Amino acid sequence: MNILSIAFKEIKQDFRDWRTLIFMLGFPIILMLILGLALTNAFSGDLSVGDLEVVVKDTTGGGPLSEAFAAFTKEAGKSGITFDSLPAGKNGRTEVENNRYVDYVELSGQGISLYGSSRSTIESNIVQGMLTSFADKYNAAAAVAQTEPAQVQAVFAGGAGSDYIKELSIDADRTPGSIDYYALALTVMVGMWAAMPAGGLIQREILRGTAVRLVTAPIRKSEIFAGKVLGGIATSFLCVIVIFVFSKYVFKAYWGEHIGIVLIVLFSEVIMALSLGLAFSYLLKGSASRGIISLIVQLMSFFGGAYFPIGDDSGGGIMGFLVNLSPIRWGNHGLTQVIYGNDVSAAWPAVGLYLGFAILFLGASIAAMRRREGL
Amino acid sequence: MELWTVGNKTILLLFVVIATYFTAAKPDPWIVLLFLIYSALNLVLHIVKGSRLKQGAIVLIELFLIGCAVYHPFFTLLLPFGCYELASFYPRKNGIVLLVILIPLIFLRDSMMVLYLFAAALSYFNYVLVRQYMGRIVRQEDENELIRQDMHRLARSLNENRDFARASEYMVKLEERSRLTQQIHDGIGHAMTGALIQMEAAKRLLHSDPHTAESLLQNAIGISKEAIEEIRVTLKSNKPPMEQLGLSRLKTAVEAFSGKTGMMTSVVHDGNMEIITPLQWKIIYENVTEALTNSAKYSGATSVHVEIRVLNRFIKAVVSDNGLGSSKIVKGLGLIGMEERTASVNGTVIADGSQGFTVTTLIPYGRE
Amino acid sequence: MNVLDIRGLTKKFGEFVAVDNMSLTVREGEVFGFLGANGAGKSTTINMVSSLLRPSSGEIRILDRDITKQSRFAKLNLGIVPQDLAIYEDMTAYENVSFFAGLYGLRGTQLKERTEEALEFVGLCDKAKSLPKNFSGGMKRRLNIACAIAHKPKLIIMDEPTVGIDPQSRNYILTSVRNLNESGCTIIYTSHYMEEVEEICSRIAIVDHGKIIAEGTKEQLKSTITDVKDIRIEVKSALPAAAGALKAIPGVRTVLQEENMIRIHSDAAVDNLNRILKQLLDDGMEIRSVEEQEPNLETVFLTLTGRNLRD
Repeated sequence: MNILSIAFKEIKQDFRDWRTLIFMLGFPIILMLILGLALTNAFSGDLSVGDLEVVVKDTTGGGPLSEAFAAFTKEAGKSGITFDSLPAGKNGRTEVENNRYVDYVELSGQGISLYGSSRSTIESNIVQGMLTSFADKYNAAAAVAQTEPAQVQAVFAGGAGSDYIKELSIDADRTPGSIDYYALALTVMVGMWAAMPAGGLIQREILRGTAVRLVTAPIRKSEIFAGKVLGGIATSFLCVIVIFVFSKYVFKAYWGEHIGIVLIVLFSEVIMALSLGLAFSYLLKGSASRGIISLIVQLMSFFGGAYFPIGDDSGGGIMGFLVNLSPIRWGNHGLTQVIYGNDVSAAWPAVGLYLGFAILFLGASIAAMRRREGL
Repeated sequence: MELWTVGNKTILLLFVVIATYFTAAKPDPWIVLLFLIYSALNLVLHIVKGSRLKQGAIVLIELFLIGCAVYHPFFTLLLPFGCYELASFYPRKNGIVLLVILIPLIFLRDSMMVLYLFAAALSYFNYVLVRQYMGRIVRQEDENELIRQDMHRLARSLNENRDFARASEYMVKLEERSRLTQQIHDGIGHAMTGALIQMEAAKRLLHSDPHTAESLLQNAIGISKEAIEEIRVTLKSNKPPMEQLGLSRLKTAVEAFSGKTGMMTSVVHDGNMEIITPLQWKIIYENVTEALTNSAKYSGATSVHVEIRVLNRFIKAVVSDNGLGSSKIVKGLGLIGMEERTASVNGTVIADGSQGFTVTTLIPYGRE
Repeated sequence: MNVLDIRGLTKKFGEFVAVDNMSLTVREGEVFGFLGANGAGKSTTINMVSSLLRPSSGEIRILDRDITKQSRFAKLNLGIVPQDLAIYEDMTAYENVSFFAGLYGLRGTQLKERTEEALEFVGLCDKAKSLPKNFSGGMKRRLNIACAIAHKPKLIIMDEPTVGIDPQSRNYILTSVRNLNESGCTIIYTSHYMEEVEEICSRIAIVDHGKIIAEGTKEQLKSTITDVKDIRIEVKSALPAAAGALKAIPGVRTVLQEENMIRIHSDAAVDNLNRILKQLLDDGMEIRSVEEQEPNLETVFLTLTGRNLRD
């Protein structure tokens, strides 16, 4: 009860601070509009899938997999993806490394192995998505084959035509346009912004002197903590929802078919961001922590591709390292897969990473809080 | 100094070895021999004792190096060290050394000249610095020695003074005792003897002449009464009053402290000192002396003020100095000791460092 | 019953000892004054009582129960008016009081009633729906008090509640302290304003360097340094007979006459000014001015510690 009343108070206060609120909501929306309109060109054409070339090595020597795959390549060929078989004496991986092909697929007794290129991840992702759904189908067929061999054809037949393509949404309409890109990137960024008010969550009480009252009230410190965290999460998530809804219905940004999953990823991101801010405010006492947190968030936004798309072709090196370090990037990456790759399972690594770090940061904050006298 | 020079010399020697032997197109065994001889001579320099022999060895090394330099110019790089070593026997002539080590420049050409200039400048800089520090160490050692002697002398005179003080204290006691003896002898002794004689006489006349005997006895009684009164007076006049004892003891201690440390001291008191019990005096005395010691040790103060005041319910003893004070007081053993002592009579000690350092002892006392 | 019992309380910050082996007892119904200079250890003691700081050693009991072992009980019976304002500027006065009272387990109509009661007590009923942003300093202080009393604590600790406000609000606060006390609250009042403490406190402890150096009623404290008051009466013309009659009045010790000024040293404990004046009037003297010099708490502090309260 106390937890809820503290959380409720927290939300009330946050929403009364309309200046911050307007900034939190207005800035991303305006940014979405400006960047989305200004950078339209950067997104068209480049990502057409017509020139996707994949090299295939088949070591199964015929058999159901081989056959099914042949059917699949034929279908995929219609969408402009060409599957070449690996010339003898050449190494598929080096071909990919030399950027001659986007991907290298190896069919063997154990299954399908895919070697993607880190230079063209988006293309690679598309192929990966296609292959995943192919594999799903094939597995289903194999399972069916064990019980009712006659039905196998039906499974594949059902998926004839441009099924793969539809599922993969590689038709020209559904490559992410600039507004789609920024809707996603900026929503993820707003989720990360939860770190900034979180830095002041406890600090604010201390600065206002109200920490004294909270500590002297007959409630446990853990209740105060839980209430504040809960309130902070609620406010920040509400902001994210507002941005999400606004982009979806006003800007008509494409958010894919799995809205629930998208929201779960965003929610876990907010939890992580809040925990991060909280941990920092405990770690670095005083008002310095707020500046540092907003600096970190800005860096994360920058490297995570919130302001301009950081292609996956940035490759390795320090840049690639920094890019992968940014939690915004994790969300962007995972959600892109979910929305455009139709690959729900891609959300779980992001959620896992977020919640893992959230537990880490919250744990650190709780440890710091326990050691501290007062709040 | 020696270690420094040896280190420097070794570094430069290695440089010369590498520059001459290893970079040469064809290894030259003669150079190896020369290096070995040079090393041997240096060892000799460190083995021989006595400044004459050492100087001789140095001159020998220098001559050898000049000889070597004719064979290979790099040997000149080693020359400056000899000069420094030689110069270290003659302090205060740094300028000449610089001139001397620059002489070889005349015979050197091109890159060798530059190299030599750098090596010489670097080693000269090193040498001057090291020498400066060595000089400082020597000076400090001398000072140390002086201080040690001083301390020894002071300790001795302190001992003597202590003996003297003890002797004079004893003398004072003896005098006091003899004065007391004299007083008792002169006054009471005489009176008692007189009374005794009268009583003896009365005893003899008791039966023959009771009347005279009675008057004699009466006389003796009178004398005895007077004597008893005199004893009382003597005792009273000799017994020092308690408050004077406490206060004067404190004053003496503070004055002694002033004499010892050279700090200005003052003692003031206010109120009825008679109220202070010996136990309270003891605590006040100990706290004041402890506080004085602290002032002398830490505060850097030039004057200390001691104040004893008897208030209506409190006895207050304050020691305040005009020193640095301290914004945050860390309780040392001294302060804790004071607090414990004072707590035994329900008092408190306040240490304050806001304006100089002040130690206030507050002892409550009951008044019926 | 003892509302607050402190035994051997010590708080160290590193090497620095802020509160030094302090022991004190506050009885029910008292307005207990905590007088000391800034940094004397008043707030540190209060913070330990309100469990904001952990004592380095020692024991604190509220209503005979240990505050670390039964912290909920202690907190329920304690109201804190912190030195610095502890209110949310972005929540209305009502919301502020109601939120804090809610933390004490008050719900529903009870919460509503108590909140209104507290606001009425500090005279902020008509401002209940306003944000404290627009309040004056004195009003904020009053709201600060309201937040501490809505749950009806047995013991209220007020830490310098009158710092930096106008005289009017100050009087208001002092009056409300008295009212609270009359309604059965025990109050601990810390201040470095001697006059306030002297005015409202029934018992006072003088604190310096983390220690209590003297404790008692203000009369007892004053008598620690002297029990003589100095009365100076200026008369139009002094009759020589006056001295004898004055000396007969209980408490009077010495009477000095210097031209038309009469100086009387009297026991401070005896309230005899009226009798003295009556005597003089009866003797047909015309009194021009009366001046009574009694030691105040400021002089007590100065005499005991050698320093001013407001250094």
